[in-house]
Amino acid sequence: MTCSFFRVLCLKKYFISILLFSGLLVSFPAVASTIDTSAKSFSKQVEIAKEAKVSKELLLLITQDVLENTLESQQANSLLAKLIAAQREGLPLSVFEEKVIEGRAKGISASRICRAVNAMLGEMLFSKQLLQKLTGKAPDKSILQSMVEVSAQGISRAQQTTFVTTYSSRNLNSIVEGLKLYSLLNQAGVSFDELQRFMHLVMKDDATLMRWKEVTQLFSIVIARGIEPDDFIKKASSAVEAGILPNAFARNFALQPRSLGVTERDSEIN
Amino acid sequence: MNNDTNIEKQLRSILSEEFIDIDPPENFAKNIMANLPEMESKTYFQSVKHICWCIWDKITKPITFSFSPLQVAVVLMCFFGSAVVFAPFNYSKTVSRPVAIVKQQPVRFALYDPEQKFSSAVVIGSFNKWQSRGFEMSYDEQQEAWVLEHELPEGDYEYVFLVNGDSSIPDPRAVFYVQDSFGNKNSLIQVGGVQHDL
Repeated sequence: MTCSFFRVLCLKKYFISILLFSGLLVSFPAVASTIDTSAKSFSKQVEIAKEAKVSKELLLLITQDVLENTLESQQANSLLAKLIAAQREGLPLSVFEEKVIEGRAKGISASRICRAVNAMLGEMLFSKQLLQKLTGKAPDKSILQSMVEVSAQGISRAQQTTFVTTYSSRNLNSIVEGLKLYSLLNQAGVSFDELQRFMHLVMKDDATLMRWKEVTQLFSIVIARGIEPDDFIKKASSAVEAGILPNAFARNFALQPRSLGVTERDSEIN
Repeated sequence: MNNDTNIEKQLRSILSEEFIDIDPPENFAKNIMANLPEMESKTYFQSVKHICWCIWDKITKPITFSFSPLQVAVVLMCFFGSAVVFAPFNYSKTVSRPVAIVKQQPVRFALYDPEQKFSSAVVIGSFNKWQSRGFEMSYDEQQEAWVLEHELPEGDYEYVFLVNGDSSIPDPRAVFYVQDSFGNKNSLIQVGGVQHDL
């Protein structure tokens, strides 16, 4: 009885092994073909990306990563697909290419780079739609590039929309430059009211905006030394109101009053 | 009011340190006055010489004319009219194109590291396509910091410090940052503008 039981058990073992082995034999070509398809589709995707004018430098880097197994060909395919989609949407490819290069330089994993590129693509499409609503035509690539910088500075989509709507009468370049300044000062902790006042003053014409967008340099110097953001912006707002340029504003504070040996009384007499 | 004066005082102290203001030498005004020639009574010959000198001075020095916008418009119309009539046929070929001059500004990067925790530090950023070559920082014992001075073209740039060859950290002294989309921050630097104008 015991003997027949063991015999059945052994047969069962053989049966299971044969089943597993045949299963492997059947699945091997399927796995092999998946790898082959993935590799083939990668080379095809590289060709399409090349036609879409993705930079050769970047394609070389991605291919190198695939060959060195630091990037799976499936991930590489998805990354290239995103770049191709960006090109087809008329978005500036250089921004995405630079992000990939930046990620590699920082040792970021391929999957995180893919996610970052995807997120940027979403932000850029939002900016494109927002500005397209305003002007009725697709914005320039340089404008879109600046808009990516703006959203990276931490400004929300709602804030972008409000700013663009408020200054919709201004030209697109001024709106984007203004938005950059707004987002930087907002990030540095200037209160809503003071920021609104300052932006209202500098957005009055292009010349004022182009000069005062440099205020962030002075801002970073004084804030690092303990001045409150609102206190500085109040002074800057007064200077804008008085028609003083930022370099004169800084010079007024930087130059110390001094005597050249002629007293006030002497100069009055002369 | 008192607070306002206090802020102005602070601003004066910070900005005067940042933008170096050169003091005039001692007894500046006195020395100039001492070097001025004394007035003398003139002879007839000296007066004639003086008149001649004045005439020479008048005819050799530039003179300022003032025009009304209408006069300017008429002159320009005459000028361009004659240029169109008498211009050589291949004029467009002779016009040279303006060359864009990229202004470079000195920039100083510093990473404070008093305990020398880092074995190396490099600046990578959008100005060098995130490549470290040529942007290696050197350790300054006096300042207890990794420093690098480099010239960059005017513009806005993102950057980080790549320390020990593998980990990136934003500049702790930077006031402005951007999200790098990988969950970290890049520092922002603005080259050119007010800071370099002064």
